[in-house]
Amino acid sequence: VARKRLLECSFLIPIRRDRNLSDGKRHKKIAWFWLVEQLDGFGGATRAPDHEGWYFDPDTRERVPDRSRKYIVAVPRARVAALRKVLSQACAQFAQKCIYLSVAGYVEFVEGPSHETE
Amino acid sequence: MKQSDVYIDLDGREISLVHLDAEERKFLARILKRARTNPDWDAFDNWWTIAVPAFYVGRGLARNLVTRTLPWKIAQDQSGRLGLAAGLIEPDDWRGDLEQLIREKFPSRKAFCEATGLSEDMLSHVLAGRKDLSLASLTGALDRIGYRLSIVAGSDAALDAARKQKRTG
Repeated sequence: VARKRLLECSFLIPIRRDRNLSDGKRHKKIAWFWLVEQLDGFGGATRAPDHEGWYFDPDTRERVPDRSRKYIVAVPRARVAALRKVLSQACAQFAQKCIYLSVAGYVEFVEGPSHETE
Repeated sequence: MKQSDVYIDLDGREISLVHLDAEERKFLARILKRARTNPDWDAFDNWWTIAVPAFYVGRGLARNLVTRTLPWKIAQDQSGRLGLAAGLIEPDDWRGDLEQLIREKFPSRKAFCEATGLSEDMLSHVLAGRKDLSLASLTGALDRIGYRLSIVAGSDAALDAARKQKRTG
């Protein structure tokens, strides 16, 4: 039986809000609940153990250490745009400038709605 | 109502279980039992987000309605407790409650702002923790939509997390 080909998409959600956009504190449970419900619409996701890392803030040029939760979702190519849309909304929910998304190994940074219109 | 007919969530709200049938109660007991073993937060979430839909879809419920079931909400609450205990979630405050109210009772933030008279810009800053609302503004806005502020006892998990944070922070 031919099955629809799925792309492995993974993304990182820092466990703290951006300290320039917001207050740098840990998220409230409601933000995580929101994400789980959004991902349920994609048939589910797998959460991998926390990832520690750092990045350079594009606005302040500062080195920012961060700890993120990794999510892995298998989606058909036609639904990748829908996942990007969820992650764009997630930028607002989790107070992030952008979210790291890997689609079948190709990395992109999804920005929030306000950044997109700038 | 028997004690076993009520679940009290992290926010101290009572969730009535009287309408759950025997199978659902058994399944809910499984969820609570697993959560009591203090599993890793990720592992628990990976489990219940599959187990709850599998249970209800198996009973013929449409997939998109699973998130409205009580076991989903209770598993979510247990996840919140584990995240708090692990120090990975910020204990809730009035901002979280406000956000939840908007999400559950209004189609959008815009609709909430229209009903309460708050500006969208102000709400966005408040929810992001950048600005505060005065007590008078908050009570006035809530009054317009039939809600009021109240002082409640903190849940054990939230208090424990806060104490832990105080000790380490």
